Amino acid sequence: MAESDFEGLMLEWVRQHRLDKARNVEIGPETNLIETGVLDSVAFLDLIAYVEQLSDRTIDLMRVDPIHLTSIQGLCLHLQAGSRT
Amino acid sequence: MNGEGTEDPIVRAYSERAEGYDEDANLRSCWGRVAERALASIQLRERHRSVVEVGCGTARGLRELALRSRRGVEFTGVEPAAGMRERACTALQGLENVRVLDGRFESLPLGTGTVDYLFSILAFHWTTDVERSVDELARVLKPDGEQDLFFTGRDTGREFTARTTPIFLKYMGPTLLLQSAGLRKHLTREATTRLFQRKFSCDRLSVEESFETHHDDLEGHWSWWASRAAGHFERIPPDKRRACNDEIREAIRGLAQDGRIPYTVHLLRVRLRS
Repeated sequence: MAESDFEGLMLEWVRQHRLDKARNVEIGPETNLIETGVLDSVAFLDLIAYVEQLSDRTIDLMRVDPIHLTSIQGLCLHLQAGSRT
Repeated sequence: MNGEGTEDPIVRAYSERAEGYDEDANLRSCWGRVAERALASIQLRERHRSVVEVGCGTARGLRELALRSRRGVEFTGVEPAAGMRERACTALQGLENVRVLDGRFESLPLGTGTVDYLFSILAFHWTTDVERSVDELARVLKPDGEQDLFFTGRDTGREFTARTTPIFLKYMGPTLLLQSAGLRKHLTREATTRLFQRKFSCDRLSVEESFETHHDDLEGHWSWWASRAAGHFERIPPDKRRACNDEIREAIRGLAQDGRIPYTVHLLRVRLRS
């Protein structure tokens, strides 16, 4: 799957699953999804499970740079870095 | 694997706080009431000779069942937290047909095909490996064995989680926050059904869910929150914990409607019948 497809699918997922209180938050690839209240910790774990299913890879939280951990772009970068190793 | 010597922060936290587990504040909390109702719904049948509770805690439930059961039934409590087991053993003194063993869902200290009836109240969501745990349940139950598991589902505490996540992010950073959130399993009814259908036949299995919103004041919620959440947040540096707690209390207080703070319990019940 192309990187842009990943990003698009993740954006779509986040828009569908965002918390009610964040209905008006503009969501882009760089949005910090937790800090802005778009997703809570449990919903973010759901997102990670979704990404694992999409990419057919397991995401080990300890191996993700914390800078990458809370945005769609960050997770995509993590997946790209992993696919190069 | 058993509870001793593991680094499981949840087991450690429950063990350290065992002394206050049967205090009134906990028993009157939403969790105390949910557990009481679950226990009341359990009806042992004539053919249940070997009865097991996994995650028996201080054995309140096991003791009650043993006291109201007929002779000839052997009860076993399985509990990973040493502090809880100690209290359970004290509570069960004089009951010859009840024993308490060290163990957990992922590694049950029981023989294959030996259990007539297995139940668990508010413990399965703490398993570290859901597939392995279901394998173990299938292993220890007799072919016509029955079971009732009550545990919390994906949406439990959704009001608190949404409100407190940004605060915990601030004090823990994203990695610890998400690791901590992952200590409890957040299963939906659909995921639970798929999980148990791997090992149990559809015509014997049912998975029910309920959503119940409990209202309490801040101190009422805090009485259970402070002990149950301890394992999740023990990695917050001690010098920051007080400030974090203060912010969490304020966030929870902010949820109040007419002075009462809502907390939703999403309860799953996995029922296996012969």
